[in-house]
This record gives sequence, structure tokens and C-alpha cells, in this order.
Amino acid sequence: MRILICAKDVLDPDAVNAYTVAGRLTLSDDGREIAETAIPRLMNAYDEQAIEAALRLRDGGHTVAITVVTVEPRTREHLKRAVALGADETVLVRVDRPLDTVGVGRVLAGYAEAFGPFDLVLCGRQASDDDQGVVPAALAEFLHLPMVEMARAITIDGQELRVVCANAEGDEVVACDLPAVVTITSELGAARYPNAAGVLRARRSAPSEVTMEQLGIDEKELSPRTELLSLALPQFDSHCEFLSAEDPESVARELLARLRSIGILP
Amino acid sequence: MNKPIVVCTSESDHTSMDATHAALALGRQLSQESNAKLAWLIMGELPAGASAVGSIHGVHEIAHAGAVPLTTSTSDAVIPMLAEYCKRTEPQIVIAAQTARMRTVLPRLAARLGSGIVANCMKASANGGNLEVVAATHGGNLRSTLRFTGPPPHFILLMPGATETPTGNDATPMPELSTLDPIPWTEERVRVLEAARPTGPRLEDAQVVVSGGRGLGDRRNFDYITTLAHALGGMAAASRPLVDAGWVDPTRQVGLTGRVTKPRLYIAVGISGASQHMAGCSAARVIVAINRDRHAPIFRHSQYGIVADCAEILPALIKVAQEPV
Ligand SMILES: Cc1cc2nc3c(=O)[nH]c(=O)nc-3n(C[C@H](O)[C@H](O)[C@H](O)COP(=O)(O)OP(=O)(O)OC[C@H]3O[C@@H](n4cnc5c(N)ncnc54)[C@H](O)[C@@H]3O)c2cc1C
Ligand SMILES: Nc1ncnc2c1ncn2[C@@H]1O[C@H](COP(=O)(O)O)[C@@H](O)[C@H]1O
Repeated sequence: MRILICAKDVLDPDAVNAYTVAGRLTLSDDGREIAETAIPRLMNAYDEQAIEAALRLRDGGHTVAITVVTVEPRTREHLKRAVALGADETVLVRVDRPLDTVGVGRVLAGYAEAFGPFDLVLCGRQASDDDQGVVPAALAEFLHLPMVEMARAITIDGQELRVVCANAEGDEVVACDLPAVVTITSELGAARYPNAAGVLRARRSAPSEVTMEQLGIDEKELSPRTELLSLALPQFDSHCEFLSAEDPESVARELLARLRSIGILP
Repeated sequence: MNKPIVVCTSESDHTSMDATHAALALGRQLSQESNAKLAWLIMGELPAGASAVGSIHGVHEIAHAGAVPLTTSTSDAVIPMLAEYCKRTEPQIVIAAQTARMRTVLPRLAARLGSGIVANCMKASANGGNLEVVAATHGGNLRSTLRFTGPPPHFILLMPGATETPTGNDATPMPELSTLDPIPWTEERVRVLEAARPTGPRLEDAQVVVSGGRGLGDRRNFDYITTLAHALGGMAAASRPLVDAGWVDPTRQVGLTGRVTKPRLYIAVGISGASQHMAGCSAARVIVAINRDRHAPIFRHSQYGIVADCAEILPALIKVAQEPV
């Protein structure tokens, strides 16, 4: 069984949080990018969990070949990480033009069609930089495949895929025939750490590069339909009133009295 | 009149009408800015008083697609119906509240129609035909302004809780209600084997939320959160690390990738206030933060702060909250 995993490199979100909190996040001159060069780029955590989901299928006795594909990345570290974790093959698609989310979905679909067939396509539920969660559904549409979002567990029985989805109301179990596109959510659980053999393999690995010519996508399909004009840091007007007193009970009493006096508590 | 603005909602949006109101209010704003009709497309059962709701938001017409099959996580049947609707009505903008279903449906529809889509939208302006939206990115640390440059319809997913819940005001004439001709739906390829079993009230609807974070330190300390929530007539919730650790059910996670709450009162205990968390509670009327670290970012978002060890303050709060008023 061939599994395709779509993986993106993103700025380490914890570092972005830390820079923001410290008031040190700066933007590029054109205002369209985070300028901080000290923030490392990592594989989007949900995409790493997608690899984990594939590895669990392998652990479960399925013979799986894992291909990890990335479109126009900034770094290749995440592809090395993918090999270290157990990917058999990594692919980097070079694109010579700006893409919007639907465009990325189109390119990924182009790759899956040209280099497939794949039995299963796994994506992260969203990329922690743009947070859009649009690419996987667009990809599924371009491939004419059924789509299941928010998977926390996947199993395969013959040609049938079974997915436990972490939905707003609770877990839902669904099934569909393969091939299909599935997005993975954090409820899947933490991804494993690479073992020593994996790290060695990763060191020697290199992604194969694919160009747009090889995908045969009509240029018109890729012209961006949305354009990023600028980024901005939201402003908060902080007005926290600190309550303090000798002992916890007095503070507690003070707080509830305040909340009652402003009508927030009955 | 210019091409219409369409707001699209489905049954699950109508459990609480907040998201519907927010989407309709944005639709009205854009329809006024661009001198266009506002249409409301409702999939599945009609919500109670749909016409009156439409009227307070200046909706001109309601199109009802009652027969389209809506199962929770799948979308095959909805896509061709919406594609056909878009073909017939040629909307310039389609707005949907960002529910689980629409998060799958709208990107697929955009891909099918060759249109652009932006999720996590907080505001939009018609801007003389060059639609611009502001969306939350990087976990809520940043706002991005984007312009739609492709062919219409432009698709907008409106982030829950991003806007004040508007109720509309100056009622306009009752909108016309038409039933959408049945369009041959395709069959669902995804089969639901076990539907989700909702466990009681939704966090999204709670008026008081007491939320615990990693600062609780010990799993047993979450019992304090539950007890305090009950004493205040509210619900218990958590930040993501507690969900990842398996202490708390995922349906109780507050944040960007959890539930978006908008209670009267949100008490955050041992939560640092990462923007991914704040995305799920910043719409609260009053936020109270309890944290050992006076410099924790959560205090920037709070009206009241208590610098204390949670293990000391929580029992005291429970005791006082349980006393008769
Ligand atoms: C893509 C993505 C999506 C995410 N989605 C979400 C989401 O939906 N929801 C969410 O919550 N997070 C989310 N996160 C995680 C988020 O970035 C933070 O890591 C998380 O919110 C931190 O949780 P916390 O505040 O409980 O823990 P920490 O950040 O570790 O904070 C613990 C706090 O407790 C305080 N503390 C410690 N001991 C005590 C004590 N004894 N008494 C009182 N206070 C004490 C500390 O001072 C600290 O401020 C997401 C992250 C990513 C990358
Ligand atoms: N440039 C990319 N290359 C490969 N996969 C991507 C890329 N962008 C997005 N994806 C996939 O789509 C998911 C959602 O991304 P997004 O829609 O940008 O939030 C990610 O978790 C990845 O699985």
C-alpha cells in the first residue's frame, strides 16, 4: 500500500508565541513575513502526526510505502525528519510562482496523479503558520476522492478505511473505500521520536525534486485567487486589576464580591 | 444591483444561532457596501423563525435546501448542490460560519469552482469590488489582510467568536422564502458507522467557564476546576496540554483548535495565555486569571488577576462560591 503524506515546514509555533509575548516579533520590510531569522523551521506538528498515523498502520502489520511530499518549502530539515521517522521517499516540488492555498492543493493533486497511484493521502488538519486548513479539502476535490477530517485513529481492512474523528460533539466513527484523503488532528497522540538507524538514514537521504513541467498543470489553474497584503500584530489594551489580600479566602471573597457587583455573577 | 452576497448555513449552525447571526451581519454589511442583494441559503431543517431572523439582518431572500442529506463529517452530497446554486445565482461572495462541515465543504467548493477562499476571517470589507478580509494567522499571534483577486464567488469562512454577536436591529421586510429545486445529490462516499454522542451541554453555550491549564501540575487538581465550575453554575474546560495528556476530553479543550467559548465569565487557572488558547476565550465578557507568575501573558487579557498558587486559591474559591449568597 502506498501512502502519500503532505508535509509543510513552518516556523516553530512555540518560538513564535515566545517572541510575541516578549514583544520581539518583527515583520519584514514589506510587512508580509515574520522577519525573525532566529526562529527555527520545523515540520508542521500535525503533518508529523500524519506520518505517525502511517507508521502505526505499518506497526499493525500492513506493508506500507510512505512518500512525503512538500511544495516549495523554505528548508529541507522536515524532509530529513520524515526519513528519520520512517518515510521511504521524500519529494520536493519546486514551483516558480506564488501560490494560494487552493493552488497548493492543485499542485499536490498534480503530484499524486503524476506519481501515483496512492492508496491513502494524509495531511495535517491545518498548518500552524497560516492556520487555514484549506489545502487538504482542495486536494481531495482535485483528486475526486472522498475526504475525512479530524482523524484521531485510522485502521484499514482490505479496501475499507475506518476513521475515528474527533468531532465537536465527540468521537465519530466513519468508513469509506480507499483511496481517500484524511486529515490528522492532535488527538491522534504524540508522534514517536526517530531511532538511531532512522537518524543515520536521514543523514544520507536527499529528496527527489519535481518541477512543474513534470506535473502538467495548466498555468491558469494556479493563478492566485487571494493575495496577502500585510501582516499585523494585534494590539491589546491591557487593564488587569490585581486582587491581593493576606489570605486566599479573603482574595476569593473579594473576587466573588467584585463579580457580583458588576453583575457577572448572580 | 450587483451580484448577490450569499450566507450559507446548515442545521448544526442553528443549535446556537450566534454563528448564524454573525455570518448574516457580515453579509448585510457587505451587501450594503456593494449595493447587492443578501441571500440566505439554508441547508437542512429551517431554524425557528428563519424569516424573522432574516428580516432583522436585511436578508432579501431565503433559499431553502431542505432535502440535502447532512451527515456530520461528510460532504459529498452538499458540494454539487452548492455548485449548482452558485451557477444559478452567481454570487460575488459566499459567507459561512466556520463549522466542521463548512470547513470541508467550502474549500472543496472553491477548488471545484476555481475560486479563492480564506478561513479564520474576522472582518471583511467590500472595498469597491476588491474584497479584503482580515484573518487570524500564526495561532492568533498575527492578523493577515488578504485581497481576493480571482473570479467570484469569493469564499469566506467566518471565525467563531471573532465578532460581537449582533442581533440586528432595524427590521426590514420579511424575506421571500423559496424552496430550492431538488438537485440530484451525489451519494455520500463516507459512511457514518457510529455517530458522536453529545455528552450534555456544549462548552460554546456555557455562561461561566472555569478552565485549567498545565499549571495545575497534578491531575487531581483538575477536580478543583470541576468543583468550582459546578459551584458557579458553569462548565469545566482545559487548555490543550491537559487534553494531550489525556486528563480531559477533547470536547472540553478551549482554543484555536478546540472550542471557541464566549461566556460571561471565564476563569483561567494555571494557563499562560498562549494566543492559540486565547482564540477560544477572548470573547468572554470578563476574564479572571489565576497564575503564579505575575508576568504571565494571560494577565494582559484579563480584567481581574490573582497571583497565587492554584492549590491554595482554588479550595478557598470553592468554599466561598459554595456559601449561600
Ligand atoms: C497549531 C497549534 C494549535 C494549538 N491549539 C491550542 C488550543 O486550541 N488550545 C490551547 O489551549 N492550546 C493550543 N495550543 C498550545 C498553545 O500554544 C500553548 O502551548 C498552550 O495553550 C499552553 O497551555 P497552558 O497555558 O496550560 O500551559 P503553559 O503554557 O505551560 O502554562 C502554564 C502556566 O501555569 C502557571 N503555573 C505553574 N504552576 C502554577 C501554580 N502552581 N499555580 C498557578 N499557576 C501556575 C505558569 O506560570 C504558566 O503561566 C496550540 C498550539 C499549536 C502549535
Ligand atoms: N506547501 C505544502 N506542502 C505540502 N503540504 C502542504 C503544504 N501546505 C499545506 N500542506 C498540507 O495541508 C495541510 C493544511 O495546510 P493549510 O491548509 O495551509 O492549513 C498541512 O497540514 C499539510 O498536510
